[in-house]
Amino acid sequence: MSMRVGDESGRARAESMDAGLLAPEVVPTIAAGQWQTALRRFRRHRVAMTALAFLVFMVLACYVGAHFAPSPTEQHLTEPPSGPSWSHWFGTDELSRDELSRVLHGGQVSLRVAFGVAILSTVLGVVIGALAGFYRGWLDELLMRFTDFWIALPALPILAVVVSIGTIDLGPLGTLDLGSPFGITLLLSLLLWGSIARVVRGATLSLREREFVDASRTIGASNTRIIVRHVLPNCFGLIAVNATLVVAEAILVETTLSFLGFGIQPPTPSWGNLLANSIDNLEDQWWLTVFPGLVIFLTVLAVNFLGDGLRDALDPRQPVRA
Amino acid sequence: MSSAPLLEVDSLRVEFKTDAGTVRAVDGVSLSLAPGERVAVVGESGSGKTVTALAVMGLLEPPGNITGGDVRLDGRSLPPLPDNEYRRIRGRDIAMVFQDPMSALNPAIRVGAQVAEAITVHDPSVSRAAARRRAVELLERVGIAAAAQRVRDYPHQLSGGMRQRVLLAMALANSPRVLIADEPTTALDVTTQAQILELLDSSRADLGLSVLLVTHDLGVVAGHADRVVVMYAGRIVEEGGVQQVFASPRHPYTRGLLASVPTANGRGSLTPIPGAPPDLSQVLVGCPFHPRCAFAEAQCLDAVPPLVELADGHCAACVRAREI
Repeated sequence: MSMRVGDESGRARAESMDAGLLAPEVVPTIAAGQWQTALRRFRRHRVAMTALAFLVFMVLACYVGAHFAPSPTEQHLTEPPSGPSWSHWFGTDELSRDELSRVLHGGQVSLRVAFGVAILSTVLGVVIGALAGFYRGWLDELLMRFTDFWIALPALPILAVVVSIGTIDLGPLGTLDLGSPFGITLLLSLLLWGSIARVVRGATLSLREREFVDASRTIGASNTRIIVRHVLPNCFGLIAVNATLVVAEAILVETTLSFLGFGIQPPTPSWGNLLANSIDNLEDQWWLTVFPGLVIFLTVLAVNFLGDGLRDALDPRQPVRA
Repeated sequence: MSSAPLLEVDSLRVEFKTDAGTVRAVDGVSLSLAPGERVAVVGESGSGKTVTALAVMGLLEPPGNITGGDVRLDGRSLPPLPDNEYRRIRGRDIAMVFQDPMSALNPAIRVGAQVAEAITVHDPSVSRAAARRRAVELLERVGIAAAAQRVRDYPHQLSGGMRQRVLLAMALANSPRVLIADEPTTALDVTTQAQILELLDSSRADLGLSVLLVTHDLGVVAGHADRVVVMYAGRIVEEGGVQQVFASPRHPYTRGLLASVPTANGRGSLTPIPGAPPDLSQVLVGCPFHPRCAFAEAQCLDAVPPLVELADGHCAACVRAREI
């Protein structure tokens, strides 16, 4: 291999060329020294940077800005709903509550649910995918057939039925209200881990054949150690990108559920139920539909752009989603 | 043999069950390694030398399987051990260095942490800081300059030779008694090769290691082994002291290997061995080397020639060994 001779960057290039040309299924690993490169690539990704800025702004607005907006519960029953004005930027609703304030408070709930779902479903998907990909054989068959089955379930009707059960008794752990933000987070996590499990399984299947895995076996490392220390850090990019995309998916599914009346239950505001409650009066009070809708749309769009940017930065060659 | 063998491979047989049939990658290989001894296993690709090494480490993966024979360390049989006990032997009693230092290090972890891991795997009570200090010492011992700074590097920041040194440091971290070096220099350039081999020798001397050197390079064998085992098609065809084998090779395959090594003065043409190794998924009739052998005659087809001792410790598996 004459390519091996040469300066360090030449060697790295030669290696990455080898990986790309000879073995398309090889998962490119993020050598951690490449984090700087990834960061630089991300910073140059203008769309992703804008999206990130928007999301930071949204989070700040919801969690900090909400304290400066008018009260979301203060009612002026004598006044009719009013359109956008300087005192009420997003207008007021049928109880004359400030709509902007309701959107911001709803955002606190919706964003918390979305990030919670991203974390929980990622953990679930990573564990299942890594076990299946690493041990292969019957465990892989079992877990992946279960994943296929799970993904094939008609999610919305089932969620609707489950949520309508209302509260379940967990014995000593107390009760779980399935319509609460926490309940919805759990349910959506159970729904959305499938794609991450597939992606992680694929990456693990390839990584487990790498020589550094054999090498760590020769120093006496256990399977658990190999998975945690040697396989998963090398799929960090894939996991991060997919977790981001789950955030967007979670917001949309929560909205859909609320719209159908099975999501987070009022009086707790969420983006979904704000939208759902306003749709009947769309002709008279358009602002009650348009502003929450716009906020949802922009947030989901921004999260997706962020995911794209992350993917481009961390893993420029690989199509990421399963 | 003067002292009791430390590591013994006894009539080892390894088979791979594939769709194309059962491949007998290792067929009745026996070898032993005394304390402090350096044994080289030589053979071309597919001769079964790496599979033998992996079998000793207990790292054969399906479809590979030990179907016969035994591997003993201090007389204790290893293959029946459950994985959690085998794990305690790997790295602590028997360590291994791989062929390609480019891919044997995890690209996502700093080299110091990888060396430290080799220590903490076997002794979780060692503190992080202590493991890190020890990693620096180990890296210094394998000749990495400014090791205290280098521990913070990622593998891609090191040259091939340095990475091989890091791997050696990992292998030596728990002062093993046996080191299996699987083509440790193949991926390196010639000057680095010499340095790594010298390091291997000095580590052996310092630590009283036994080294099983797996290689296809007879040039490496000459200066860095006490005994040579030549493998062909999953069997041992010749075995003996380095002097014996190099001075008077008794198997036509060994002769062929020696004839295909370039000499220092560059004169004289290289003589390649004609043909290719046999397909091990087929049942072989007679001596596996006979189709490529210049000395083959009718009796070579009768049976697989047994390994016969010709002189003190010098064995060959050829019916015409005494004539050649």
